[in-house]
Amino acid sequence: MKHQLSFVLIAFTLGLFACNETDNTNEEAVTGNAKIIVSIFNDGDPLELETRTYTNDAGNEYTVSEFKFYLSNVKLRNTSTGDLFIEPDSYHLVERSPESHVYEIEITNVPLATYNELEFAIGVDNAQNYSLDNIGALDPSNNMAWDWNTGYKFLLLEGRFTTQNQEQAGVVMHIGGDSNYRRLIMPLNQPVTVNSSNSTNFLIDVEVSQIFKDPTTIDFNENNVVMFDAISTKLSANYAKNAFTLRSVEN
Amino acid sequence: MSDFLQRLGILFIFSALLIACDSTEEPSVSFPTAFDLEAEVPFYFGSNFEIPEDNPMTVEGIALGRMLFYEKKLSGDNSMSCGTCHQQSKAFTDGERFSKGIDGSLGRFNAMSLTNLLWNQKFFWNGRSTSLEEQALIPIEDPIEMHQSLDAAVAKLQNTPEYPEMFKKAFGDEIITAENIGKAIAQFERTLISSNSKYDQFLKGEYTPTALEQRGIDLFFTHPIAQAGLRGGNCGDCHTNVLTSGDLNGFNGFHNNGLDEDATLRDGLKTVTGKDADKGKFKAPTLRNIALTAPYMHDGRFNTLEEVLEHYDQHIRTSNTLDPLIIEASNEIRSPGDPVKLFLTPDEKEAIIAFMNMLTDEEFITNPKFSDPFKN
Repeated sequence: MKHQLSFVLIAFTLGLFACNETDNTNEEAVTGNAKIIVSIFNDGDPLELETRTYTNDAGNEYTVSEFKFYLSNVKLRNTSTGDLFIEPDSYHLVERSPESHVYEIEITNVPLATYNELEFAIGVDNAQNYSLDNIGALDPSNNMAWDWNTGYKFLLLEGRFTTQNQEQAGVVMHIGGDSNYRRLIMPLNQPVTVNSSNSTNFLIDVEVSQIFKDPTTIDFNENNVVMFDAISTKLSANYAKNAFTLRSVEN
Repeated sequence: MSDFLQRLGILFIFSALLIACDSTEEPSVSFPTAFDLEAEVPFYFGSNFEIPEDNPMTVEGIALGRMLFYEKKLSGDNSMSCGTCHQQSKAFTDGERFSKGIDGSLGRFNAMSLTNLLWNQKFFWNGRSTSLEEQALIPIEDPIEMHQSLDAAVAKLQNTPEYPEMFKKAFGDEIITAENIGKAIAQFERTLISSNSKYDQFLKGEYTPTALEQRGIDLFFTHPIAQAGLRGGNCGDCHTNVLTSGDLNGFNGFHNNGLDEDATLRDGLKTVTGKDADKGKFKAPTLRNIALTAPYMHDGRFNTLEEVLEHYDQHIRTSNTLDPLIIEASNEIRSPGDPVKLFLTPDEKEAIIAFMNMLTDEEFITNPKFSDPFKN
């Protein structure tokens, strides 16, 4: 009897080693999943690449050939209870691809709680900005890194416009630098409770035209190439103000 | 009685464990040996690459791929292999403007260098292929290249003493297929990593660049802003990061670099996407080993790096799809109506060329693992 018990024990131990898998099915889920679903618009319609001519507030006619930005450091918090979720390694490169104006960011392991505020940043924080041995969205081969000294482009928009002399010229907006790192805080109309059965989806709309206005109207005849110039701060102030809105939360 | 139940219980536990594990190996079947390619990749190249799940790297697959890469039986008259136009000593190019196929007809594109292909998702100058596996088979069948049907190529290999056994070792089946030919060549090509140039030694902290080289590095990666007094060669906008290769996301790494005007512009990427906005865009290749891969551009029109720099500096031709990053790059403040020019000084051009020479990797072009196994 004693021998048989040890035999059973050995069998179990071997089994554990052999499989090396733990069975979690009986544990109660303590986290859920969320998504930030980013839709990119210009003048209220899905942003079109190359094919559609837009007019900005300065009256410049322009097209967009490429648009992408870093959405980073996602947080969910409850300003009443103090519950706070910080997504680890939270760097996402959101891009208007030729196929879709919608980009989905999946966020896992969100503690089950009720939240009333979403926070994220546009850009790459100082801690990661000058290290180019990064992986994932920050991998330098994503062509968003300048170099070791200057860090990342936080937001990139490239395209063409017609100058006041009716010439074709380029639009090159590469916004970066620590001073352009912008935190955005979005209070939720209704608190949302993250649960283990459904994904909680935050629908964010980006309106490209807002990059070029309010408070500072950008005239491409004066500023069609913006990189490190002082004007870059005006652009990031523009888009931090009104370009990103929380349309709704689905649960 | 209770003894019996306990024995039954133990049996039950064992059976359950067997079912649970369900991954027992059969020792009689020999599996190819996994090859750890990632161990060959320096950290600063990043990990933005994928090896297809259905074609894992194996020692046997790479060895087979190397044989096939240099195998002349893959051509219609047994006179050419991949290695004919992709010669190791020239960083896997052939030094010709256009390569000649087995029937003597000339191609329409310059043979591309095969370097650091892991960081590529689109192949050929116009991006018409989306995997190395697929790409590797196309020149075999192309009538102006190796001009042989895949069926004929498979039949020839099947009738050799050595290949059926090699395919069996690599893919578990001695019946040769075109698919497995593509997979093996792709595995070999993925090992063609160049990471011991002077520039790599600099990145690893093992080499201090000369003043000229350092100036070249800085200029290469800087987009000039004349208003701010920032001088640059504007190269790194397209030949990005330390890989000096195109953006690998989607077709972002394809550009119209001002070689021709609208009237004479070739379709390039438009052949693949059908979009007018993509006319005249070609793949920005890696500049690794660029000093060895003349002539330059998709049609091999420039014979020297000096000519290439003169093009970007003084001879950009405007067209509807000319890259905005080229239009908007100058080291002199431009007035409306001025032509697109970079205005680098002779010293700056010399520095950029010094940097490009740093990208030559002697170890890569002499590495016996990449050499022709039929020439030993």
